[in-house]
Amino acid sequence: MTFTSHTQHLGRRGFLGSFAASAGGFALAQLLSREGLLGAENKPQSIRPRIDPARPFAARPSHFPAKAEQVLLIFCAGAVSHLDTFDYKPELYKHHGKAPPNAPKVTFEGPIGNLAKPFWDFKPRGQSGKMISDLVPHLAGLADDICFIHSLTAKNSAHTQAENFLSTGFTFEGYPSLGAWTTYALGTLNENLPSFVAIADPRGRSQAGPNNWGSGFLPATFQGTAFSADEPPQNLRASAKESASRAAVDLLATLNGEHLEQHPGNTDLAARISSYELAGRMQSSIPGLMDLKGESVKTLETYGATSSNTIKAEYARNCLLARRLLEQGVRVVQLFNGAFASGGKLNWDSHSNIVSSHGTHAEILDQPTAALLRDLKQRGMLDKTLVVWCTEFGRLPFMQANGTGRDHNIEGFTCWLMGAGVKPGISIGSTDELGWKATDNVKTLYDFNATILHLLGLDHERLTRYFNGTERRITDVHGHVIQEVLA
Amino acid sequence: MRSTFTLLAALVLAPLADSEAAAPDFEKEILPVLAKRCFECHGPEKQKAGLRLDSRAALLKGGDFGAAVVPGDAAGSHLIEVISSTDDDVKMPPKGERLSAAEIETLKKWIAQGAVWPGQMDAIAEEKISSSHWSFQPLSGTFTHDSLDAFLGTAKAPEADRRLLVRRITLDLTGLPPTPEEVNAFVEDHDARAYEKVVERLLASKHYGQRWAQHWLDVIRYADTRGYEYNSLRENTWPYRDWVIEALNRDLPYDQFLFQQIAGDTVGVDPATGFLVTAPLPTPPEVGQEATAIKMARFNALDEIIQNVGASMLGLTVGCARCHHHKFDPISSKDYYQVLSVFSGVKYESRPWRDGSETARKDELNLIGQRITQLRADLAKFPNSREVSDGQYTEHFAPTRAKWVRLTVTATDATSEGPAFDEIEVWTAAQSGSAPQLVSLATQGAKATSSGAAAQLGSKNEFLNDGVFGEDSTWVASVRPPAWVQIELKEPALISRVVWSRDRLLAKTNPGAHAKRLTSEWRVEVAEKQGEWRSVVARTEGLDADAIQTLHGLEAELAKLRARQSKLSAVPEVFAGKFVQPEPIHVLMRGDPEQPRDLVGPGGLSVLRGFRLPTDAPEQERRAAFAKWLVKEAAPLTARVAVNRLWHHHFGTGLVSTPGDFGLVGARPTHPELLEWLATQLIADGWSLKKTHRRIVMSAAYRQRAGGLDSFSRAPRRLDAEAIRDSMLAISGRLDRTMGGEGVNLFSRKGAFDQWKPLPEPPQGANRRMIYHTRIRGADDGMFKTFDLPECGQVKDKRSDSTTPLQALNLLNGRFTLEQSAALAKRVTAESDTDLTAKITRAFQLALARPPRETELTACLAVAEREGLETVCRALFNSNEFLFLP
Repeated sequence: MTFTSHTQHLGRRGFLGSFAASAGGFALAQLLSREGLLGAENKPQSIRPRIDPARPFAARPSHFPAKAEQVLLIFCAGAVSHLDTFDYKPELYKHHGKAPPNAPKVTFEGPIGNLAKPFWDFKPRGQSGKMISDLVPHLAGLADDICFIHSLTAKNSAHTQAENFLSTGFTFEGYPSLGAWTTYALGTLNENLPSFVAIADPRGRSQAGPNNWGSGFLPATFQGTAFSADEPPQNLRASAKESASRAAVDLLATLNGEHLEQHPGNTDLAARISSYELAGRMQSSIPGLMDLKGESVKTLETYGATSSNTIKAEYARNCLLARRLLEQGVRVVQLFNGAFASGGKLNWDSHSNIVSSHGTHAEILDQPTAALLRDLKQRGMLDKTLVVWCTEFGRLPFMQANGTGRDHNIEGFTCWLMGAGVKPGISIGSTDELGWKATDNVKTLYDFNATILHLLGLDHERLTRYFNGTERRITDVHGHVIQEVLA
Repeated sequence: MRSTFTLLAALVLAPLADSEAAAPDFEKEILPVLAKRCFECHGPEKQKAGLRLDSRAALLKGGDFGAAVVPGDAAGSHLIEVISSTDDDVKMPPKGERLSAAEIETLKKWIAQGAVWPGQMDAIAEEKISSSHWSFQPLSGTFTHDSLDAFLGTAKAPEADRRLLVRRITLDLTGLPPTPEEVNAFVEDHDARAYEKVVERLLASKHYGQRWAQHWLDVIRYADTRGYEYNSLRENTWPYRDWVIEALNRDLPYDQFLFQQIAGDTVGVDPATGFLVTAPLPTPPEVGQEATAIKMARFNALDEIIQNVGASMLGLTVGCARCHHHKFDPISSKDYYQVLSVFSGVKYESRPWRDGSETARKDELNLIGQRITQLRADLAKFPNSREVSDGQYTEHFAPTRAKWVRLTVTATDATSEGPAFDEIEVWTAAQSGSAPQLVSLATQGAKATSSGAAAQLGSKNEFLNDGVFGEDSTWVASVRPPAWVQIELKEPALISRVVWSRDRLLAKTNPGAHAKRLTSEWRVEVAEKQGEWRSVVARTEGLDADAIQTLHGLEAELAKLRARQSKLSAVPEVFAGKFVQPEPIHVLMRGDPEQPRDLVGPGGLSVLRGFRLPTDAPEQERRAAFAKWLVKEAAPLTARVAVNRLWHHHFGTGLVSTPGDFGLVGARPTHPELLEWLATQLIADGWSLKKTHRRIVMSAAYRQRAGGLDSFSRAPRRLDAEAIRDSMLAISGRLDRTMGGEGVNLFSRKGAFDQWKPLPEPPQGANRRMIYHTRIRGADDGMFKTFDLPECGQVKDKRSDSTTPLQALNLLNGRFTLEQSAALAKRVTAESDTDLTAKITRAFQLALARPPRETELTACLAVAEREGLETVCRALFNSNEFLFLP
């Protein structure tokens, strides 16, 4: 076999040289010429965001018109049991206590036990009559607004790899997150705030931590900024005197101004000067956003921010912060519920004592999250905000050998969407009668991410960047938009 | 699974197969079906999955997933499998009308009868992979020019101002700024060789290796933690980092630099193979217990090695051929698995480090052994003596009859914790001709009791005399000192020695590791009749002052020598891979370990005349052969990749702007002939990197001022995180220039998982160069992560240099900046006149290699008077002029 046939495409490079330069220091022409090569294989042409180095966060057009301009990603770390929340499986009651059919001897964590019915009762909710459990009564009240996807599948049974997969499309480390891809493509709506904010759970970072908001091989510009209601972004203020900081900034402007005169038109230098101006605007806008004093007592109570459960109260404040960030035009807000693996104590990873573990986490999640979503709805913000509720995988319909917990299940689980562009009150796909494996309308997390991007007006096959030998995208070489989701 | 053997057998046997059934008419029944259903994707135009079906040879050879047709074996033929399948992922054709049952039957019959293709029965598929792509060609020997500038041709801008030039070359070669003295010396040196002298000085500086090692470590994502969920520290990774620095500093020829990283163990250089095992890797609990997941994890680990080799040495994305032939480059799946076979014996583990001290260690151990024997003999002359070493304690005393022995610990090294012993032993005295006997084991009928064992730690009294050493069989006191343990012998015996220890296994492998729960004060008592205790350790009773001094002197020397002995006996380890003879390697269909196809042996890439070894070749031989191939047959490519990488860092963009991808999708060289020339010169120079550096930085192109006229009109570019931090320390006068050794960890780990937090106070050594910081994957230092520090997950051939407001916030307000600003203010105050102007001038010279201009001085004076000199320094550390390589 010879591979010489490929070389003929290289001739296309010649006439593509006249395009403008891109921001990343990588000649656009070269990238486009690669597309030429890919184009020859009938692949869709990549669409490069035109990023002004001096205004990297300026709003940029989407690939096609879309309702959703912003996205709220609610991530429940540790894997929520779909069987005990949103995926009602009556057959499980019948088979409770029996050995599961055709089951392996061991699953992720070890030997398996018998089938177990849901640990909370299910009731029909809303107009749709959707069956949702009493574990999440507040969220259940939103059933008519939600579009459930019950037939999701993931790729790796370990938390970190699975979080990586959910957030970046790869189980490995070092790929850009969904939020980074989104802001890389779209910039943001308010340049005085970070374009992408990651709000950590009060109890700590989730297992894959910063990978969930990392920029991978995209410029660090598009990293998420981590802060929460009780913890401002690092270095927003110096420990030095305020007047000294102001003097340093003014002097810096003088020094940089003179330096720029010697390099007229140098965009990198100009961009750095703008970045200090932007930093200055963030310094003045962020504290106000974090100050919840202006919120009424009623609002605070509705969110659960006055709860005696201090973790719930802090998570509720994070929910309020999320609303305020979205109100101000932050493009991507990633809200974490659950921290790292800890035997189910600090996140949803309930390998044992699922009743107390899931109970604890649902108590923290349910009321504040539902209040946030109702608030967004009430304020009309769902017209342009997409809400994504996700977890890295589901849990198994049978117990572990210990008889009290459910192991990891990547073959069928539930995530859901609501808000801008999403068809409300429907359920897509299903798992088998035991809720174990997705059987009907099986979807992957590639499909899920492709759909989220689509709802934001982005074509997942054309949102790419060249890295290590090929055009990379969040859906790797997979992914189909889940059409049923679209309103 | 089909082996080559069965394929051959089938070929031989096929013509003998059943010829009774009516043979399908090839021209009418077979070829038209293949043409209609298959050729569109597997014919002359396209070869999806590397497969074409338009010749018999091609059918037999198959594609990514092995042979399409096995003559004589329809059921075993992949073609039949896919046209019969209903699985969406497998079925062929994937869209449109399926083959009819009759057509499938005819094809089956045709294959069963030997897949006769008239006129092609002797043809064999072309196995050779060739390519006309530029980077795979031999280096051309003849050139139109013989200097770098001549190749570039176009007019250059004038040489940069001397202050800028010396700042550029110093930062570029060492990652540190020039001192004001070095700047002045250069400005005032009117020798025609002034610049050359600077270059020579810098290339000879130890800081050169520290700077350029980081560039190399970036590509292969070197870090000191495992990544993923546990992200715990990997011990002993640093010798590899030190090896790279040292190799660059002594200009180890690049061919050997590559060879040793692949097969350094064959030439006695152990740390070098740390190269192979830099990737992040999930630990077994993170992989889980499912057999398929475990297998996949192993192939992932091997793939990471291939990615390292591909990105750093070959400039090829070899890893892309894992699931199918490379989409763009002439690399087949078979190539991939041959390379994988080369590395399939590499485990991500430590191995003993032959650091060159073996002989000296052995000699010293001999001497120590002799002296210890002597010391023990001398001590034996005293009624009582004691030997303490690494958590092991021996009390010798005059022979005495006893049935009970009790050790009471009155203090440990930490007062809040009780003692812990993995064993306590009672020995009889040597008696006429018979050696001392151990009499305290439970199996000998002895019984152990104590003041209490810490049950919550799983500890019990039985561990005291079970004959088992180590952490898993350790008695831990349930109470703070005083705590006691007691052995009741089966019957009274004449005893003269009691021995107890903290953890003998650990002491052997890792001397000095146990610093907790060590015994520091104790007494030993014995009784022949129950309850009649008497002390046997009456240490100095009856001795005169001289004797006491002698005893203590001997004991002290013995303790010292024993400590030295255990330190020398422990073989140092390096995290540089452990090598085992591998299992057979197969081509895996779609990269799936559950779908093995052809067995392959170790080999290099076919397109670069890759070597081949038998499938059972010894492990070490595989890597050695590969390493040789890299710098022989593959030399044109590796040399091109090497010089381009140097160019990339010197100029900010490579002659090939994709330094890790010289394949078809990678960029083409902007100056092909220059690249060829540099690569040719590299080899001609005996692969000296320093000579290549010299050739580049001595050029007029490199020396021209920014904004020059040709395509290398170098714009100032932002320094990377390391250069910024190291420079700030150098300028503030706080830089700790200690070289080598274990890294300085600026983070602490909370709990078992990925929760690394910066230490509240910087630890000792925090001001060393950043390359000596322990690199924690994913950790955020609150300062430099935003400056595009690699997260060390994927191989990375170049860093981004982004600009973000978070960088501004960190650099403006971060504690590190405030500290260095204060330090710089202090430094210039100490080094200058009391005059504020002089201080500001000195700060400018240190930070920017020039005095302030009048307008700058005025502004700085005003700020310094109002807000202090450190505020001026803070602005300087944030200024574009400081942050950009001129």
